Amino acid sequence: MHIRSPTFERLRDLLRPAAPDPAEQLFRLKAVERDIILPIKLLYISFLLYFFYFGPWYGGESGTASEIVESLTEQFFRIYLALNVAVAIFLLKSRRLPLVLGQRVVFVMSFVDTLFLAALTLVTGGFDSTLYWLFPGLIIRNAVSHPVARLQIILNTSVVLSFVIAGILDVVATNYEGTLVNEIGRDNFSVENPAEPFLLRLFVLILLTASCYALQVLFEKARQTSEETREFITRQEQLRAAGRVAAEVAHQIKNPLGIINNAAFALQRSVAAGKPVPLQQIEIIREEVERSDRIVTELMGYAQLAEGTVERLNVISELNRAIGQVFPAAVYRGIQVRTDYDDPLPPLLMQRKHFSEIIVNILQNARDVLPGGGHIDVQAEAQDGTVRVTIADDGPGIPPERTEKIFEPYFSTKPQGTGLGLAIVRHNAEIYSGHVRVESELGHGTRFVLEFPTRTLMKLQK
Amino acid sequence: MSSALPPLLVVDDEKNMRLSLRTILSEEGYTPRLVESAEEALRLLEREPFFMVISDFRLGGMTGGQFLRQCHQRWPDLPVVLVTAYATPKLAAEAIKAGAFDYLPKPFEPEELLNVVARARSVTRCSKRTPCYARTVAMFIGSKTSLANRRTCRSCAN
Repeated sequence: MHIRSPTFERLRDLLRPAAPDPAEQLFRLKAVERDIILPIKLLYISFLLYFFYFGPWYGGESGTASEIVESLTEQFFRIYLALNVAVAIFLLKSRRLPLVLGQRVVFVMSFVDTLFLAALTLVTGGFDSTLYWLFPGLIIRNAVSHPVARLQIILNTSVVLSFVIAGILDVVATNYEGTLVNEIGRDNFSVENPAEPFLLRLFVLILLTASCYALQVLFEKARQTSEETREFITRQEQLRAAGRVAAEVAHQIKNPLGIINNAAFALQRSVAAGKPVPLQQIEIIREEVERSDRIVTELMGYAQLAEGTVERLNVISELNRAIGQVFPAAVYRGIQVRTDYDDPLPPLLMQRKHFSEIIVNILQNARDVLPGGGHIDVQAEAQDGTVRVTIADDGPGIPPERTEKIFEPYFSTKPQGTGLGLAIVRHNAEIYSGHVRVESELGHGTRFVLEFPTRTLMKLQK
Repeated sequence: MSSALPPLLVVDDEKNMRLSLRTILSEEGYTPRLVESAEEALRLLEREPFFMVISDFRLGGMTGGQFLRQCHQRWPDLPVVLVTAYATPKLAAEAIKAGAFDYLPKPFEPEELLNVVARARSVTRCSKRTPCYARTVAMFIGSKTSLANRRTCRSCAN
């Protein structure tokens, strides 16, 4: 019968396995199988070694069914031991564990674990065996190691079935031995009815399998939801940034287009009226075409920042060069630039253009916020494999809600700003694994702190 | 054109935009005065009469929006036309709500601008003779017809 009630549909949706994240799967595989199960197995196998080869209680009467089972189990143990050693080597030695292979290996190993535990259960008393309590452990381990629903269900069902088969085999063996005993004329001993504890134990295993699966689905869904929320926020931010880019591009390009259109209109009218050609309009058109070209080139330049050659930069001379570029001595008398450098500083492996753009953009910002003069402090120091450059001004400062936004492309508070300056700063710093942060308080100036690792490879732009 | 008509004020921080607008407007018989900032425009408006203002939305210093609000407050009868490259319906609605006479997205057709200027001129004339409500009606009809006019202009240009 096909049930189609909304509650059922909802329940089915709720329990439908979510696709687990591969990274998460690999993490679980490593964390459980290598870091938890391996040490446990070491103890478990050591105990079994003792049990099989040195234990005083081991060794049944020869010729009985239990003796045959025990000897078979012992054979199985040897194979099991060899397999475990192989898997342990595989898990410990592979530095970058491949997910699919790892999963297959662990799946087979989990299955063999189940079979071996079933064999041990058979040896140690079937349904009544104390080893029963290892079965729930196996179920939990499978649930954690195998987030993929199908594998987990196959394994845990096999755990339940193995327990059942081991129990039944034990009952059969016991009955057989009982018959033998009867035949040789000894007192008949009653075989306890195993149904009651068996059902209880079976129920616990089935319940555990189901709840582990449900928990797994719930965790996975919760993880996916939080990941999606994060993704949504990031995408939204990207869209907003893209919107600003579009608005800025529109403004930058539409202005010259408007002017060209006006000039062309004036030109057309003059020509139509037979008046002399207004040269000024032609001049305007050419200027605006040139400007549009510059805008497009700048945009392309921003997109291709990572091209060029890397040099060994002397930080001090680069800083001084940038200061000289932004504050030509003859022009800026109101702003005092104070420098304080550790000497010598380790060289930075960067493109000269990138480093210079970073410093020049920050200095230009500082200059623009100090129209009436002020102080700018440029410091450079070396610390634990990092060169730290600090540029501080005593200007009006940045409101706290803007401190992160200022690094976004096309965010500008200046009427004539392109909004690219600080985006370039951050981008240029980040391609060398460096970073930039701003510390500012309204009325107390702004401090840009740049940190560049001295020994990193440049991250190439994807 | 009418010699009694006061000049028209153009506020734009782009030199070439000012120059090209001056050519177009003076060819049509208007007397454009050009300034590059809203602050300068306000100073000039305090001193001299203008029949209308054409202002860019994005200006250095005070923005076109702030300028529009000030103009509307101090000279409620003065038609102010905003021109912008950031043309979104929301911005257009805000501009009209803030008292803009009209709103032109860049790049606009020069005919379109001339049409708006002509409309502003007729409204200014009307405002001198008729009470305020009649002027409002005229403006309302004007803004309703401006879209149709623009379309006509575009099809003419094409």
